[in-house]
Amino acid sequence: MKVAWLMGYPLSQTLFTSVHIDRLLWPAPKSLEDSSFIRGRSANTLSLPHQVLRAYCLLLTKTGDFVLGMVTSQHYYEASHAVYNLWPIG
Amino acid sequence: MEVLTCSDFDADKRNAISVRVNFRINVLETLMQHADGRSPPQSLFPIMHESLNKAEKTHGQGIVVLEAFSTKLQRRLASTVPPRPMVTVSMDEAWKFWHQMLDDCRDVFSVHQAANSQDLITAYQMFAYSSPQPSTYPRALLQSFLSLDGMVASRVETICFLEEDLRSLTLPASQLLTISYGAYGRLHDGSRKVADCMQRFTDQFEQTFLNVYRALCLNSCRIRRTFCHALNDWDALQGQVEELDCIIQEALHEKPTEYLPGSPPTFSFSLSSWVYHHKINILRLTIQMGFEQTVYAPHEMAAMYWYLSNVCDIHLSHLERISHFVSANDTEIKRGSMDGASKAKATEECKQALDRLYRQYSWAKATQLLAVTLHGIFTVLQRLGIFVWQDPLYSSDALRYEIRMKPFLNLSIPEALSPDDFASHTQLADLTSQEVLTQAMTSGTSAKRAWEEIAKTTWNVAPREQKGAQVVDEKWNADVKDCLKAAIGASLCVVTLEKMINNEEWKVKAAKETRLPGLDEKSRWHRWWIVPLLPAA
Repeated sequence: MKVAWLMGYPLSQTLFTSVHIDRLLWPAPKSLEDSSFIRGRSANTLSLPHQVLRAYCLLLTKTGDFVLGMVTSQHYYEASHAVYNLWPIG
Repeated sequence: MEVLTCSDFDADKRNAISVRVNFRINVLETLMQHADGRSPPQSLFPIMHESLNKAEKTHGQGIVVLEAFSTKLQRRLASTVPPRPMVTVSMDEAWKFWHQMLDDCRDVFSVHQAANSQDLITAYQMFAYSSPQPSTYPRALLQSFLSLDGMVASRVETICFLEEDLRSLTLPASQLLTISYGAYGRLHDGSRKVADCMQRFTDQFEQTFLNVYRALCLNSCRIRRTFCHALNDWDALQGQVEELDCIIQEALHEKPTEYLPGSPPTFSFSLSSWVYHHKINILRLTIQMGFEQTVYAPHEMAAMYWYLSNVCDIHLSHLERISHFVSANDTEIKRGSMDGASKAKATEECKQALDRLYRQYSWAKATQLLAVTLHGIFTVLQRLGIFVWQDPLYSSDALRYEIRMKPFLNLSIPEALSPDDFASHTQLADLTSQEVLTQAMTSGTSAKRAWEEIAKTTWNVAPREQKGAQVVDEKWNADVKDCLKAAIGASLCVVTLEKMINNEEWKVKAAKETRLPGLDEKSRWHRWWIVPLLPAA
């Protein structure tokens, strides 16, 4: 999914089809603690696989944020290069 | 990670997860460095490649959980577009993509080894023409180097970058560039006008010049498209700059010199000469990229190779003109009353400019010779009925000419030819096929020699540090060698045609079997040089 996005496909058809990433990012979290699969529940209380999955998903979205930041700060053509205009992340 | 090690998780699965999380951490570290305008430590890249390899090996440990993904989430988008399908790529493709992207992110920093504007464009071109072309992120990263903290490639300010290029081509050891630094107070009479002109010039070209580099960071189709627009912009600006040149000539009391024997004395037109030089370079690249992107139909090959050779001819004459005025300036400096150190510096600048002009000349000459050879080959093939426009019912030669030459028709110089003149130049109607082949043979041999000479040089005019520039060096050498192979291939093609031109049986066979090699075929020696594949003699 991440590779498909890096290749230029829209987030909505790649990373943002992930139920887990959606739970972390929707509604938009105000802090890192907010970014939890179950809002209001501390990450430490999650089961081990969920803690690891949460860390992995956060790494994935933050790297995506850096990619997005770099590409959109430069002169590029939406659609002919990549579709980056949906749902800002991070 | 500590949590993982302490757990009683299955060891293999723990390792597999740990490799993936570590990989993401390293990627994040790399991207953070990029965002801060820093080069990440080189040691990170082998670790990330290693992580990818380990991840690939442990891929079988995972289970596909389809429920973890859903297109229903798209309903949250503020859009009326119905949900679109998920896009996935095969794992093989994904591993390959990551390895490639990591290599590109590492190699992109090699452009910092370019010591001047000319070397920088070579480095950018080598990166842009890599096959497969780098993905969007490394290209955006490359583009970010053009304006990082107001510096170009972490070396010079934008305005100095432009002046450096002017100095290295048309204005070595020129007082004009001193004036452009804004030294109004020290200027003699009339130079305020000159300073204003220079200010207008730098205002106009500071970004326009940098945009040529930016264009090379786009995807390859966009590069050509952007160049098509840039051509017309540069053409319009050239007219304005000629006016600035006239004001400067008058203000500085420039004396005209005789350039061509018998013709009236002329002025150097240094600024507009610089614009014209870059405009022709963009024009040449636009034409050549058309071959790469299969823009031209097989029946247009002969005409487009002729047009390319014609543009190179014009460029060669222009480079000779610039060299003439630089040499004249050099002679004047040597005769002049400058003090020793200043004189030495000025003559060194002139020498460097002449060297750079010679490099440009060699490249344009080699390109022109190979284009002439291929034009000859395709012309003879068309006379044999191969690669001929088959269906003239719904169009005319004039309309096809108009659509093909659309990006170039509005240029004031080089002025577009009328369709009839263009046809007479490209068809070589007054020469027999044998004569065309003899000419192609001569130019093919010279093209081979010219590319051999280029292959003996290096990618950079001014070596800064060899360390780290190996990537550009390798890419440049491979590119020149491919051009050389194309020149040899074209010569062999001419030999076959010369031998078989009167063999009726072979001609029938050739009409059926001759084809153009595709981009991914080995016999397509170079993306810009299409040597037709003929049946064996």
